[in-house]
Amino acid sequence: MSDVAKTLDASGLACPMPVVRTRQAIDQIESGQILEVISTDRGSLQDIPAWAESTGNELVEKEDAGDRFTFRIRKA
Amino acid sequence: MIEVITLETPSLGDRSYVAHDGSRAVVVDPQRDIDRVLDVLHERGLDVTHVLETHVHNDYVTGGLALARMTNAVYALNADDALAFDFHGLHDGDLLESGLMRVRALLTPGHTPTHLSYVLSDAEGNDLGVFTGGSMLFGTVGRPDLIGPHMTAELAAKQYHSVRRIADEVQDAAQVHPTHGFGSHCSATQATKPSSTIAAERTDNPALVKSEQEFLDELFAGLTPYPTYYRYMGPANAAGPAAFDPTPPDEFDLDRVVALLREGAWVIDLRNRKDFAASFLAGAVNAELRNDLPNYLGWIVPFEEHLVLVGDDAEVLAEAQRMLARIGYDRLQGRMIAAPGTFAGHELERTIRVVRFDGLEGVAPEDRTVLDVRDTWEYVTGHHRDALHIPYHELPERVDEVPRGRTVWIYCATGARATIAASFMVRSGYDVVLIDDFCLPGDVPGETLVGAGA
Repeated sequence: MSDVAKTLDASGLACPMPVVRTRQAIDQIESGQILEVISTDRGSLQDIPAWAESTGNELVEKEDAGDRFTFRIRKA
Repeated sequence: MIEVITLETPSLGDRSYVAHDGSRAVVVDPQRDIDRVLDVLHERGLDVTHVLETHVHNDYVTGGLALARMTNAVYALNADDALAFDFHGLHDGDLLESGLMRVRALLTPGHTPTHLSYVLSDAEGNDLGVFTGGSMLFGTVGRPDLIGPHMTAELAAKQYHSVRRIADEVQDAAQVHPTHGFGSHCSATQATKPSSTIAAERTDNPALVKSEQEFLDELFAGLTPYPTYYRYMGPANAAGPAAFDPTPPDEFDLDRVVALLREGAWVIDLRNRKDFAASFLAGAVNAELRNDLPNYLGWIVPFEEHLVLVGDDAEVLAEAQRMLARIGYDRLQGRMIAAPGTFAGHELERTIRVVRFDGLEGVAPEDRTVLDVRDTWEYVTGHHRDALHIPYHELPERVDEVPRGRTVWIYCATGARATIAASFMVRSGYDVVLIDDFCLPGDVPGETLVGAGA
């Protein structure tokens, strides 16, 4: 996707690290830009959307490929 | 054409491998549920000649012996491993042949005292890959402290030299194929890349870029707790574990589950935390079907227990059964599918209040205990000002430190560990509130959170 400002590959990381890294990565982009997060932790399917909601960032896309999950989050 | 197929087990953070030349195959470090390996073999019409273990595993029950017996393959480990069954004992430098493939055993102690790595080459002597088990991982190494505190210093030093030996003796172009490091607690830290070569490790691996002292200091400083179930895996693997049996346990009705709970049985309720909190049976432990389920349950559920699984549907129950069998929890008494409303009105029915951090506002400090169940490294980055800190994995031993007679408000980093801990606290006789909220390292301390050192 052309408007992804940063991609975080959190593959192989276990809870809570995918969310911890997401939080760090979002600090490195500007408001309105999109962070893409890739995770292999099934818990991310629940945690990353919930984290986005609780922090006011917008989850614009979520892909579930069975063992690999991709999220795109627009920074508030 | 020699190819290496990777089989991922994200719930344990491990990989297994099938190396083949189109007709013959060598399997390395298979997990207990060998049906996944057999599927790969059947799809490609491969004959297994050898099943190899890099070490006697500490984080899962192996499927290696069962696979070797089923396929009439040679089952090989280090000749010095003390095992309760016959196997092909390997020594440093031993060479195996499988079709067009050549496999060389390299003694690489560190993760365990008898650890072997296996160098895969073609008949012309080109190193194609090296199966490094728990020695050289992607940008890190396997942890040296799983055998016991008395061995840790010695194994850590050996690990440094073993990783150097691999780099010295294996050709640069060879792919590195570790077993650990993909979320496994067997790894000192976690891999940050999906693949690697010997050449890449030369600049990335701490054992190859640091002095021995720097390497050891960093390794010891970074070691995190590992699940208590690990201590049972070595003995289980040395005894010769049977194959995973996917047959579902008996289906129980509500009365049967309640009767077992009253006797103290461990009932594992796999539903999501909100459904669980809205209506559950007192005493049941809530563990959502996530990758970390085996690790987290392996920390609080006694290993010898016979479990009862409760879940939304047969698929969830089957997946949990598989995940638990990989770590040897295969003593399942029964299962129950819990449709919405199943527990409504039952005398054992309980609910847990679910809030965010702001739910604590206005609750008098003398009426509540705030319990932080995160690891110490997380706690020190900032925590609730009144938090009692008991890391999740210490809860079974330290639960009595939580004062009786007050409501316990429980949180972790994402809600996942707090969810299990909350149900565990109810089982232990406490009145709880689940703070289903985030408390991540670096979260700005505000009204409710205080920063590091506070």
